[in-house]
Amino acid sequence: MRSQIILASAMTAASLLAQAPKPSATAMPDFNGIWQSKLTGIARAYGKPLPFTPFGEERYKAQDVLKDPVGICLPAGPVRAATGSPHPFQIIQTKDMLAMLYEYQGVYRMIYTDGRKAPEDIEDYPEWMGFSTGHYEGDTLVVETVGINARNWLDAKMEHSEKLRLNERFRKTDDNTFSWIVTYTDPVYFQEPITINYTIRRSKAGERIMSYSCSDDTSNAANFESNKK
Amino acid sequence: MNLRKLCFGVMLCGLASVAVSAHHSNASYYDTVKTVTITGTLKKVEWRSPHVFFSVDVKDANGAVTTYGLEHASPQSLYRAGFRKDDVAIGSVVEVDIMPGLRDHTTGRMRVMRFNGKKFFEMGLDRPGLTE
Repeated sequence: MRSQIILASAMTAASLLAQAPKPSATAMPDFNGIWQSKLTGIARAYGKPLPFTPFGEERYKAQDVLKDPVGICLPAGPVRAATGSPHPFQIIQTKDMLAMLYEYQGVYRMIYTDGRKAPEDIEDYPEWMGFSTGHYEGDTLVVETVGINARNWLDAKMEHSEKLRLNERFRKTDDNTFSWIVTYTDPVYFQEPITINYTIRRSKAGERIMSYSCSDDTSNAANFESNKK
Repeated sequence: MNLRKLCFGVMLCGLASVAVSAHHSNASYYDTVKTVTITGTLKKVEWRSPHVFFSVDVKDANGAVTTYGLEHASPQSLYRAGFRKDDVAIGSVVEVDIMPGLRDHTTGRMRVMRFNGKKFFEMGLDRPGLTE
């Protein structure tokens, strides 16, 4: 009888445990909202001599900044679109993806957190924003980006190669700030990966991202033309 | 036909100057250290993307008029900073501090516009826009 009671108690306890709510996984950090980076560039943000390869250094020194691809409205790339202008960006986040919508140039990127992998041929078909996959490690979103079109630049002077890979770590440091630690690995331009920690701040309440046109400027050509009469 | 007319509307044509530069850094086109002050009549405000442009007609001693094309920050940055396109009426006499153009002295990047002694469209280096 006693053993039956013990068994019954054990079975009841087991049954209750089975029905109990499972302990929740760590809540996904919430990056939703409108955010702003300070305007900066790679050399300034890195803050010390860049570990260029001889080829990278030669290219950087000889760079013609008037050839900057954003000057002909080519997309700035996943980091520069946020850090290379004073325009804010919006993050929309679900469990399966995080979208960054940049006011600058009106471009966007998707970071897929649904477990998918980059297409095997992504390097043959590179994307302006690359292809980004991410996962959460506690309070940090860890992202790998490959296949970034080498026609865009990392900032107003710095090119990159098709071998560029980014590792990004997004982590909120408080409700209104997150650190965006970007490691750039490009063996054609840099002897070793370079890591920059960008501080991103939440825009003020009521802010929205506005529409943008990169090419609307051509309408003003007449004002400059008229000076040459 | 002069080369500038040929280049009109062709975005890749370098001689079409800042109008088609879309979003180059200021230092590519303007002397970011110098300040030149011009006085003239506000002719036009083009509240366009990616940069807002102000046209100011400046008359010289002989009465000849030169139209200065002055670039400012993006319309989004200006709007956020509280500026509006009709803050200064067309036809107003204005005094403008500019970063002069490196290649064309009739272009410039606006630092501040003064009208009736009041400042308009002034953006400090620590505020978004001036370093675009």
